[in-house]
Amino acid sequence: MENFRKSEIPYLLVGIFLSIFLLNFLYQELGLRHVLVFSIGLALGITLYHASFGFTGGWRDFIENNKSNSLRAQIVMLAFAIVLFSLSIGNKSLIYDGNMVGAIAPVSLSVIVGSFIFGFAMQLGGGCGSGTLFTAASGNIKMFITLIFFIIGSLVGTYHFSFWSSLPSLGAISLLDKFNSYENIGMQLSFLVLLYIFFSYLESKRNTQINHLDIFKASNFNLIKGPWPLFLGAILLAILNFFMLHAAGHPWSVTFAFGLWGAKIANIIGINVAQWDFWQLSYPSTALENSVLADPTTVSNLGIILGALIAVNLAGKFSNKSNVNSKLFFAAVIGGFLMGYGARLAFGCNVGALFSGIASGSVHGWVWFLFAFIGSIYGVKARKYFY
Amino acid sequence: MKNILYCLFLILIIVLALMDHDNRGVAYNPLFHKSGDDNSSNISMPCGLGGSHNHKH
Repeated sequence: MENFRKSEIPYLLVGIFLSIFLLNFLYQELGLRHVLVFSIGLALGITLYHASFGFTGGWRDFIENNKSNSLRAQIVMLAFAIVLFSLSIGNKSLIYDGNMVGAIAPVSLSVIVGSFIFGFAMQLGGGCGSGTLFTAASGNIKMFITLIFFIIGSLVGTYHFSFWSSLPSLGAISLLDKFNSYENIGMQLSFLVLLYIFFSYLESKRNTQINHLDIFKASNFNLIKGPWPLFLGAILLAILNFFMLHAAGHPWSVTFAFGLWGAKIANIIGINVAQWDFWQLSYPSTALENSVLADPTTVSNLGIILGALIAVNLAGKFSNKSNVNSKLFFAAVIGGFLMGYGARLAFGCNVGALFSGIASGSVHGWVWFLFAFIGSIYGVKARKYFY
Repeated sequence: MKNILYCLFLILIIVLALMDHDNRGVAYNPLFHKSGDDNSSNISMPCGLGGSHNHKH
């Protein structure tokens, strides 16, 4: 305890108190599965913060310096999740007596455009879907601005839903529908091994040597205060997404809730979003009419926010604030808005589309990965005008 | 001061969520499940179009 900042203990207690309050409220009002989803969200928030597990910085590090440790950790995470998910999807949940579904979405032009925009924008905004959530929650003002415009962009994306969904599409392609679980695991893991070798080769070519053990190490590792090694973060995220699949019946998702929050706020200020095509679809229309706390994505996002708040105070870094100048402000506004818009076009962000999509055997997840990465290459170039 | 404002804002967001819960209620609980039900048809993946059954174009 000696390294805790005493000034941050009240904020730590705020995070713990709000978490306990919401756990009790969700149990009383909505049931055990919402409690589990919220608890998983808390664990995700702590893991994301302590392992500093984000896609944006890692991809940028590779694009600029060919440093691949973050990408290799993401590959480990995906590999672990593919095995867990392939043996679960379509089967009965371990938590309730019903089947689970994967994050399956169409391979379409809207995914290509949306993921490219998202990859570009996350370099401007400074964080991806999960990254924006946990860094904003940990008190980063710039990321809070990014989050606000992420929500606005998501809402605007739902307004243009009809146009984007009318563009050419190959339809949903699920590898688990076409192959059995073991064939799917074999194919996807083989591809991940090739990617691992490719990224490692590029790093070793530029930096002459590569340390494959670097993802297992963290300077001053501390389980309570962090930081955690990337490997620990990768494994925990895969396991927590697996738990989310079993608790919610679908994998971890982040950005649907942003659009929902935007729609709820728009309703309050008199914009009738219920007339928009997107909000007339079965799930969105139900979510819009329902309590926002009935939406599992909202519940897990609240868990991530409070988990990150607890983690940053355990780390004693809540008071470490950076100033936001006008350039950073505009980067956050543009990045946040385009990320929100892109995520709606692409059926999710790095979590719902890339992580959960690939883990579920959906080809749209791989398409998302490719085009978001290309977008990030341009985003890294554009970032230099703002940072 | 910024930290206090941040925590107040966080509490405000949760209060707004609770007010929305009071106003809207829960007409449909997506995670409600009766033993013996196979609810795979109504579980949705909120990944953009908001449900696997909506992914048919």
